[in-house]
Amino acid sequence: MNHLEFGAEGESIAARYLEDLGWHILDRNIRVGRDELDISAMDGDELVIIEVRTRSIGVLLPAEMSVGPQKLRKIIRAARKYVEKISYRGNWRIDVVAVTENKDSNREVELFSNVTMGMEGGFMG
Amino acid sequence: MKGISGVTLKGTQALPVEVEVEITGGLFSITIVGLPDTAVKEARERVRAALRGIGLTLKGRIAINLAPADLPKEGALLDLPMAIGLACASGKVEGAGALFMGELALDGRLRWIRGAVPAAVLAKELDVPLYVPKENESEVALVAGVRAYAVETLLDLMLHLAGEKPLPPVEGGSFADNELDVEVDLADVKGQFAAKRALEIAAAGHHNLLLTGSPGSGKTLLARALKGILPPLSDEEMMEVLLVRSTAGLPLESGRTRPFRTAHHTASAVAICGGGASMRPGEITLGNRGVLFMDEFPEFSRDVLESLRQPLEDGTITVSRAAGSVTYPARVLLVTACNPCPCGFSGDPVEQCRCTPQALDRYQRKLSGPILDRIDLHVAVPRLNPEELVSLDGDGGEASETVRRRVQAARERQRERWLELGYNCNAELPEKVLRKRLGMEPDVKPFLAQTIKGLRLSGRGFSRVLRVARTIADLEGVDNISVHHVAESLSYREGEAFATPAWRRV
Repeated sequence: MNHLEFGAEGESIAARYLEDLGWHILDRNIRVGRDELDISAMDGDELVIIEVRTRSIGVLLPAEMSVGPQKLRKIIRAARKYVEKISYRGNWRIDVVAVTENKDSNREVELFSNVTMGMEGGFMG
Repeated sequence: MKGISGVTLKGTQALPVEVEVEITGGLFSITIVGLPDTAVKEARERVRAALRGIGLTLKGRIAINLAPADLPKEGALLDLPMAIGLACASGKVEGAGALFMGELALDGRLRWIRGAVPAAVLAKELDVPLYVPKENESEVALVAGVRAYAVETLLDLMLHLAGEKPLPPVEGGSFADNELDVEVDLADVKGQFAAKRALEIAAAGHHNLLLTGSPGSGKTLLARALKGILPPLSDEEMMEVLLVRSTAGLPLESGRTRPFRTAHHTASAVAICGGGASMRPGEITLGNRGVLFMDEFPEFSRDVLESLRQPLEDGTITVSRAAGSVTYPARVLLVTACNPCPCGFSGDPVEQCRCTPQALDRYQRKLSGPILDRIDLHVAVPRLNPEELVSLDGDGGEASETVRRRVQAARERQRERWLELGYNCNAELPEKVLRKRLGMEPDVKPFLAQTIKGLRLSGRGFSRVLRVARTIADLEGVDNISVHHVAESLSYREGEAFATPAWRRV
């Protein structure tokens, strides 16, 4: 299994996890210009853009930490375009789902909600 | 005032700031417009956390407008109105038509803020309820007739606004009469009876004072003794002092003791006059209605000395900066002390002065004519003679208590006379009123005409002589000024303060 398949599998696991939470998955692997968004879903009346990070345990940087400011800016840019494309007018937010493969090849899923919260005006612009 | 409002401070005045909130769909963000300073901008983190603490998670794009848009807003005291504005926009509560002020902690507690007293005055003027942090309750209570509520946490306020758990209004307090403390009793100061008399006059009429004398003669001690004979603050004066202390962020001092500020000679002009990046009042304002003591007066930098001119004359100081200009009260009793020359012994009966004429000249030039002209009472504090010095049980004269009672009576007379015109004491009186309503015995005029020529008094100097004479008459308890009042008043003036020190001329 190469790294791409490993990632894709992580995204499927994440999607299943979100559906279990009662969210309604809208799209997956959305291309917006140069960027790609992993999952979009509705959590009640709020649109959520989800970035999925898959890692094996033991990698120095945990999955959720691998979304740095630069990546986050990219996601926000792409998410804005996407929201505009689907003419969505309500509130939306960006979540990160970390999928970690532990020693027994089990996957652990963690949800980090509203990751842009607390950043300067949610990244200007 | 229709919307939710907070306040921002300009001088010792609070101005209303309306907080408008708009929430639209989108990624969560908070934008604050309306000239906020850094503390106001950072409020978004405190407000968000505090609101989340009470179960209100903010969503969407949030724009907060602070109106009027061209007034600079400063400080953390706008946290609370912004939080209430957001809660209202989310439809949780109704808070329009009230003033809110307070800094929020992340857990929703409200912190002490400066400026609660001006805000209370504003709320009373606008006739709207005011919500302040619990820690500010005692200050706000002193503003009579304000409808105020002391709030401990954001949750308490929400429950109050929702009508579920009403807060009790702040009980109006009153200015307590306190025992005025005497730090240095006049009776403990040996000798120096002339200087003590000058202190009494200064305290009675709020006249500026210059003490000149060789090192160790007791200038500083005398200045400190002045504190104990100052009359208590009246209610209006108390309010002024309270406003200044509240805007400066100083804790409330209970009682009617007049402020006594001491400035070191390294102080900058901004420290004395006010200003700075955040526009704070200076020492001359903190000493309003009380004393500003400047020891080693000629050692102050020249711009500090010259900047005192205008406030000493007007009783207010206007600080103008790029950010705008504010006016602070500055009705201060300036007490200054200095040596007669750099070595300190010019005119001393025992020590020899070692200063060169040039050094003497340089020293004396530090104090310009305009400054000396504004000081009503020039007093020499000569070295005590050996007998006075060693008399351990010597008669120190009257106790501060006794003198203060006399000072207080004189101040009462002044207030009664000038109250209809809105003045508290003789020093405040504008020249026009002074000349019209002085009350002179008929023989005073010819005496004045005769002496003024010889003394080369300026116009201002002349009216200052009359003011001091008025105070001396008030101390005596008589309505009209007589020749001996004017004569004593003239004895406190120095044509040229240094060239001929008082003791040298005698």
